[in-house]
Amino acid sequence: MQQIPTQPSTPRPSPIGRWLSVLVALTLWTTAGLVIPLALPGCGVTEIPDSVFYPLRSNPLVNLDKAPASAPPAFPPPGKPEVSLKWLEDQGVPILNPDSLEKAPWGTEWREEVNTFLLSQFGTPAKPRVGTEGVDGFATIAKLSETLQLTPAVLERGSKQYRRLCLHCHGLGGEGAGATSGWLNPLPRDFRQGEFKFISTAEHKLESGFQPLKARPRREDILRTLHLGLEGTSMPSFGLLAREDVEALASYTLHLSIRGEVEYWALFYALRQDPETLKAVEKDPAKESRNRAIRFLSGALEWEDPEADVEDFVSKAKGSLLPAGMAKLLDRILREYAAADKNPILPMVDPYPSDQPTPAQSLANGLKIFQAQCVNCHAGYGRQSALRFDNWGGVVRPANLTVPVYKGGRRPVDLYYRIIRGIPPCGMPKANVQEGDPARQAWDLVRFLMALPYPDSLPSDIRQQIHGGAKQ
Amino acid sequence: MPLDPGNSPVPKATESAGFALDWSAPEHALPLIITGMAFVIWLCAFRFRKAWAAIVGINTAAVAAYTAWSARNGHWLPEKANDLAGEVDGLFNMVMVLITVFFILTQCVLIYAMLQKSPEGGRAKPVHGNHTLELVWTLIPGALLVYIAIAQLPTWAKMKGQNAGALLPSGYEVASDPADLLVTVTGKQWEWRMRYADPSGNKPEDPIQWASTPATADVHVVNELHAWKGAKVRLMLRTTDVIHSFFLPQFRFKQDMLPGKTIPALLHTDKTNINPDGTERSWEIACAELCGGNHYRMRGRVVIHPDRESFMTWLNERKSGQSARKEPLASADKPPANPMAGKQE
Amino acid sequence: MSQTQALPKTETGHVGHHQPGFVGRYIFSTDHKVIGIQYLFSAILFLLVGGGLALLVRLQVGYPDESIGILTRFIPGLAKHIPAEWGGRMSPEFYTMLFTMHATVMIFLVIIPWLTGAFGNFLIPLMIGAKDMAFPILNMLSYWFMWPAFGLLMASFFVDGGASGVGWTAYPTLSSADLADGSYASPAARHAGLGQTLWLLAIFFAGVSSMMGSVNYITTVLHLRAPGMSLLRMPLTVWSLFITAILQAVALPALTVAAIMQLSDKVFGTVFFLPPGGAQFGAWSTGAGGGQPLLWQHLFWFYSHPAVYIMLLPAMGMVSDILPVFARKPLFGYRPMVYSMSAIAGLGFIVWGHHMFQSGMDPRVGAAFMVATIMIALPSAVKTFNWLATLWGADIRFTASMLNAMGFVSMFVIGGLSGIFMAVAPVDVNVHDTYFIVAHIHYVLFLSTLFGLFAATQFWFPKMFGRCMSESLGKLHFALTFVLANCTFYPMHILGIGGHPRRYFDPTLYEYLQPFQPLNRFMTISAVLLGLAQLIFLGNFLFSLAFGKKASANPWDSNTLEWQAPSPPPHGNFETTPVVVRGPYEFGGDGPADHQPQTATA
Repeated sequence: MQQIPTQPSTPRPSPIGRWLSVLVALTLWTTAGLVIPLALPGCGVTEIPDSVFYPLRSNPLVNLDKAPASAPPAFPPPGKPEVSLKWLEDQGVPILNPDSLEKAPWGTEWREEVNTFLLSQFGTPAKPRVGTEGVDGFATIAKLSETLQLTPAVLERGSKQYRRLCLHCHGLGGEGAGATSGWLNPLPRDFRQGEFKFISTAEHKLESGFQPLKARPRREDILRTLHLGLEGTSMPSFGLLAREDVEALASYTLHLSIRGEVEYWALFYALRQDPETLKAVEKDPAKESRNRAIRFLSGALEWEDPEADVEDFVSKAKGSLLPAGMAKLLDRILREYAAADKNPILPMVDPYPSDQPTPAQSLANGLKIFQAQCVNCHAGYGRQSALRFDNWGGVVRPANLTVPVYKGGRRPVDLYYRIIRGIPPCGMPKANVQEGDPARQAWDLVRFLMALPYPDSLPSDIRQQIHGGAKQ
Repeated sequence: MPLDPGNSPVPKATESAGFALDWSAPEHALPLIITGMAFVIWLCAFRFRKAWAAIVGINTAAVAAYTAWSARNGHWLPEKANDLAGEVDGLFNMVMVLITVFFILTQCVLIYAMLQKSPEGGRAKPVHGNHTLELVWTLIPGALLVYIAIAQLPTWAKMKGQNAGALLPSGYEVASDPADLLVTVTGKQWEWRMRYADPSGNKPEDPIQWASTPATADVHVVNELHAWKGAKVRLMLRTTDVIHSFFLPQFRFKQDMLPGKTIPALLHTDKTNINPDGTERSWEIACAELCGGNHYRMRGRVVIHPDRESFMTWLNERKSGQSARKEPLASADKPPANPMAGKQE
Repeated sequence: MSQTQALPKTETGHVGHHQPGFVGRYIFSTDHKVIGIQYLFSAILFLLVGGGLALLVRLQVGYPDESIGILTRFIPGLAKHIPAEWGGRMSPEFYTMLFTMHATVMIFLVIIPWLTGAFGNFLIPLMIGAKDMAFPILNMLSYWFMWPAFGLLMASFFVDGGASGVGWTAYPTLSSADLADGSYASPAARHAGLGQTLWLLAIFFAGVSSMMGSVNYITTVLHLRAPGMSLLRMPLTVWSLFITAILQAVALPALTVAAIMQLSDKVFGTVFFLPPGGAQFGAWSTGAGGGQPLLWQHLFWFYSHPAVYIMLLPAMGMVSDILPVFARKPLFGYRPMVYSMSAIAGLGFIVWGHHMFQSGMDPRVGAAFMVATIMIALPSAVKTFNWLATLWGADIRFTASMLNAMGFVSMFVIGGLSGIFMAVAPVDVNVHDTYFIVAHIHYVLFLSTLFGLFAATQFWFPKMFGRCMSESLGKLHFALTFVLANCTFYPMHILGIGGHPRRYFDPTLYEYLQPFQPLNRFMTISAVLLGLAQLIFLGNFLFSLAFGKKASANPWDSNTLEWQAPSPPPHGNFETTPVVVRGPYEFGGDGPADHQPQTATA
């Protein structure tokens, strides 16, 4: 069939079709005017919505009262930090799951009281703060947060920067489980345990004579990490930010850490009780809250004379005991951070002038100390380091010291800090350099570590021992 | 898993509900206005079918005018940090001029064709082609293209480290080269780790070897590239993980870093970004090859000191900070007097 | 199903054809027309998906700190990428997934299927006077191989780690690095694990689908032409699809093989793309390799540069057919058009290196690629001049189809001319991986190819469904798309010249990019409007299927063979095999009719 139309039959729009199109178009653009504003959210570029709150802690706490018996078999697979917790659990280390609080009849109420306290004392991401009026001992808390640069103005600035720069790794509440964290190794730090790895704080006691609950960092340590990053990890350097922003970020990190730690202890001491005890407490509701508070506070605050002090505390506390106890805990944590700033490690004077070549004897001494104290973990100078658990229930590997990459900083004084103080949350002990000439021993070890990665700077016998025959 | 969010006194986090698109801002209002114009042209075309030429015409004019406006108002090539950047921009401008001519020409022909009167008798002449015309519009652009191809070769050679005048580049080898400063840049997810060779003068014998095995006296810096005006900087580009691309917009410099390879590159610095009054014009380093989710975070800073002395001062300061045995905080780690602020507040 | 309504219902009682059931006729059909229409529907569906992804990308760039939490109400599975406790801000990883999937969907599931799948299938047999494709079952398989690709891509959003987020170029080691323990976990990026494996499988399926199609086209064009249909009497649509099929048949195996290599790197632990030293990611390491990341780039671009022409040539061919019909004037320079298309295809194979000027490839090789690349501009220029000459002195009928075709010509000029910058290596090094490239590819693929597709869809719709699409809505769609697409994509040139790198989650981090942020917002608003404008096309398409004006066999007074068959053509296409007596572009002149169909005797 061949059809050859002779007349042009280009379709021309009918008048009805034309007006219909106009109608359709107008409807569409009216809709567009409505849809775009709804679909596109606000323009407050750096504003944090008031409706955002710090998340409740839901991931397990590792009870470190019992140390793991054996080393982890490997790093947990990317995005699955829970695997290493499972390994710990298999070794009999108690893993405290906040969800199990529900089992106790008063668990929900406990959680609520904790959350209310946290919300009132630490605010929201939009309005972060540390301490508000109406809590026991507010005067000292306010003074301490001033000293520690935790004022609302600084924290608000820090919060905004944190939201832009840190949140996707460290998470909204500093839980170290942001969207990017999934495959990072080492994992982003979970701030909520109050622990920091790279610190330059000398061991000290508080004015009250107690040990700090955790090894506290100095503010300078946090600033150093922010400025230079942690080489060898995914923590980048923020040295290009404005000075005030870095300071604000340091303050905000402290804020998250303190908030998290208060929550941590409150959950920790509630969860550490075995269910039977918890049930027994339930039978006597009048004693219940008191017992809870005692248990919590006596655990966290280490009273000198628990019975007497607690009686005293209970009689003075207004209203519920738990918030009062937490306020006391908050006060103590703030005091610990303030004390840490006042107790830096003051390096002993290096017996060798730094501008002269390292004496071979010094390296040999350093090697001797290293072989006596360090090779257990840094096997093969760190080349064959065995993995181990850290205080977060994660897995870490003692550093490979034949490569000049230093997470905590590459200055000699940084290595000195690590040697003198260790890395408490990872179980790296401080080196024993007390006997003989401590300064010489410490600096010999530092000097040896600094020469270790560079075969050329080692005497031939040591080089032979460490790097084998071939000169690199 | 929170306990029971329903019972919790802490409300559940929700997404932002706020909305405040500022419709008076030109960037928000303009698209709607332009849409309205297209709408009007569509309506007019029911009556005057040749109104369609207007849409092409307005578009052409708008594109040309907007480009010219951008070029005059700083939305254009960044500041030139060296002579090579000038040469690259010269090529850019040459191409720009040529394509502008062709663009305007072709659009005008199209618009004319849309506006022209119907041929007599309603029937167009059945022209099937024209050899002469075909030859003309093959040979003229052809000649221009050949010219562009040849004209760019010396710049390309220079860009890849050849001396001026060479027509073809050489491979990636480091000859006994005249570089004044040796820097290894190691890209990693997601930052740049810079390593400056010993400033006291012991140049590594084999830069490629040195790039992968650090020396004791190297100075380590994060995210900051320093040099001085007039220096020839030999960059050794490496990466430990994925492909990154070291992008210096002001230098018109971009070079990928390949895992497993050390790529040498030469950077000329003919201009300082320190103003006479001591303030710093911000020159930044960016990553130009997707390297993971935080690709956008690989921001760095370039400082070209006005002279070698101030560079050496900076480097020695860094060096002494790096060998600090006492100071709790090395002063060298403090940010500079005029840090680039993050975001405008 | 509107699709089934519109298909031919009449049976022609063709000798040798058994009566297929519903499934055989409309779903697993071997009829080239049904397959073509299946492709068309799929491509339009995927266009919506791909466009939606693009809008999310634009929202993030324009408003980096803002909430898209509303999405999780509709797709709860996305909550892990858009965590509510962040105030509904998307994660940087989700952003990379979005642009990766946008590119993949648009290239492999929209443009290529729409051009070669839908129109290739529907038009080739009709235009050369054949009853069907040479291999009908292969043809059906080719369509159904595309669905696993789509399914895998969409499913990958919901697997552990999310969809692939390593860019559609999938450069190793970001995409290929895996832990030495044999798990699917990639230390390079969470979304380069299982998601990337699924992506590679999807590419494999899409590749196989296209290869089956191209073998079919080549055979059909070479063997099934009607009597008198010499190669140089074929309409340019057929020529372009033929050349495209050759390009695909030669280039696609390279990509498919490369995808298999990367797949085996990821699944079996081979090290084709892993350098000898391996890769270090914090405390992770991949173990030693023995390969070269650059190898992937060569293999990938050996396909993907010709792919640009695969995505452009058929649109050029169809526009070359549409322009003369509405200009009522023969195509200017038929032979130069054929030669230039062949030249583009030929040169297209030796210019892939211009994607790699800054990649660490030897600069001497770069110089060679640069010269080849710059010469490829020439055939494109020749084509443009010929189109313009076709319109010169013509009696233009301003139909929606013609407007889109002229939009193609106008916008292809920008896309082509901006390509010259990329051929000038020193300039390319500067604009490489900036928004300038994004602008260029969108001028070629969106403003050129997609306009060609809109023109072609509007043009052949009557033949496909026996009804016409609404002209008014079609023109409105053109006007808005033309203007808004320019608003969306033209400023990207300026961003790129200013050095704005592409694929940045939050450009405001950079001081030198902050002045461009209002521009980014402008483009975002334009893009949203542009997306809405596509709903007009969709509405017009669906509406016209059911209520469009009934079309005659030859509503546009065209010459080519498909218009000699009824609308829609029955099974077997032609009642008697047509005999071709002249070329396809005999318009105008002083004869009795202003056009002379290819079959009619003079």
